Amino acid sequence: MNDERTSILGTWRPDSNLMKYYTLESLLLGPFFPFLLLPRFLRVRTLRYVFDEEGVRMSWGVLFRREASLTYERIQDIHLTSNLVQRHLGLGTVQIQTASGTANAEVTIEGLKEFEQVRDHLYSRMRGVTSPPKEVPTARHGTGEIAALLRELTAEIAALRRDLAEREPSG
Amino acid sequence: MKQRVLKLLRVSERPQLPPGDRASIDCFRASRAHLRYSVLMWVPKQILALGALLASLAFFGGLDPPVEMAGLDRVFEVVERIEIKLLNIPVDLEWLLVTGESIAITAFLVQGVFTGALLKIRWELRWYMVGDEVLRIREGLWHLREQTMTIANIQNMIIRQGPVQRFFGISDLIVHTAGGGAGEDANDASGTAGKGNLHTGHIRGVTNASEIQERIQSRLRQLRGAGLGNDARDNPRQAEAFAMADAEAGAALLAEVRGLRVDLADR
Repeated sequence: MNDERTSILGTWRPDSNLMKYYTLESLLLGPFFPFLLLPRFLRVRTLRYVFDEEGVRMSWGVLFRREASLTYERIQDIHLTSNLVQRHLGLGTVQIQTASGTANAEVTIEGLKEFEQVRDHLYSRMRGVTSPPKEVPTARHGTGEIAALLRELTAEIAALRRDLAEREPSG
Repeated sequence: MKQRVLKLLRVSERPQLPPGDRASIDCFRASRAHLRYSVLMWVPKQILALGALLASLAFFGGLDPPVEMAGLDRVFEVVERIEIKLLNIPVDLEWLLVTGESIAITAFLVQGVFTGALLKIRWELRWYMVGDEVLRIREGLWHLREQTMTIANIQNMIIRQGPVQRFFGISDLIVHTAGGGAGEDANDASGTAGKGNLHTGHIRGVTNASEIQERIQSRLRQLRGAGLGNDARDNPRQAEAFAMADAEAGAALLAEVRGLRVDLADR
């Protein structure tokens, strides 16, 4: 489903390797592994990421459904982390931080093999990153227009003053 | 050797630059003095561990055949009983001690060689990228961590230098973005990829911390806005809209003045 996508925009489901990673993770609990594995399984089954023009939205949960969303422009930091096991499975975690008061990331994107693309996509829409340069000259052109108009205005007012001056002696 | 370690750990030596304007980005490592500093910080830890090892060896060596400590005596007795009853193996206390001691010594040596050898690789994998728009910090060997923030979002910066760092002529530049949260390890100078505060970026062990700070500061001066959300004037599309509005207003004013002149001429 996720192969050969050129744009990040759209809906994403986590890669199947995420379940492998979660399985390994829960095996660390020894005999208690089902207590972690079951919620993780349900999480993987229901996890969705939606990237649109304004922001990113993620949702998961079966009984208690959760949905988190944020706009790109409010992103403060992007963290990309991966541990040894994740790297061998081709996975990485993208943590997105806004300026809210929590210590944890507001949205954590895990289980996408295209995590680097995701990071670049998010970064390029963050505040403080200039859009492609083609838009800047238009703005500059605009300021030039104002200057020309102002010069024309000055000429008009000068002419007005001359007219008034000519009129004064006769009137 | 290094390439093999990196391949095994699936870490690329060089970091990825952020997209966009790459020409302005300085990509550099921590100073070489930082490596020397981290070696120096590593030595006392090892000495401490060695001390603990020797102390425990002396302690257990003193007990050798006659087990004097009542508690330990009890433990060994229990172990003995269990083993004899369940497994039918006669327990040799001395053998147990020797095995324990050799395991401890081997563990110490292995971790010493391992952490020592990885200090350099760790240093080589620590990268800083400072550009006109972006700051990115990448670090870590087992746990790779890459932090990206825009210069526009930086709130404040702190330069910190300890006495040993001063000796090496290096300091840390710490960069904060907006947002709270506990968990900042204020005294963590080890340079390891701790969890810490996700709003804090550590540029550790650089010789030109104030230069970097000045560069970021001069970029910040050019930017308006508090570093929160989006300032319309920082957005080129919005700026274009403003320019169009200016032009429209100017044109209206021009028409008005022109009309006034015509009126005056008619009078």
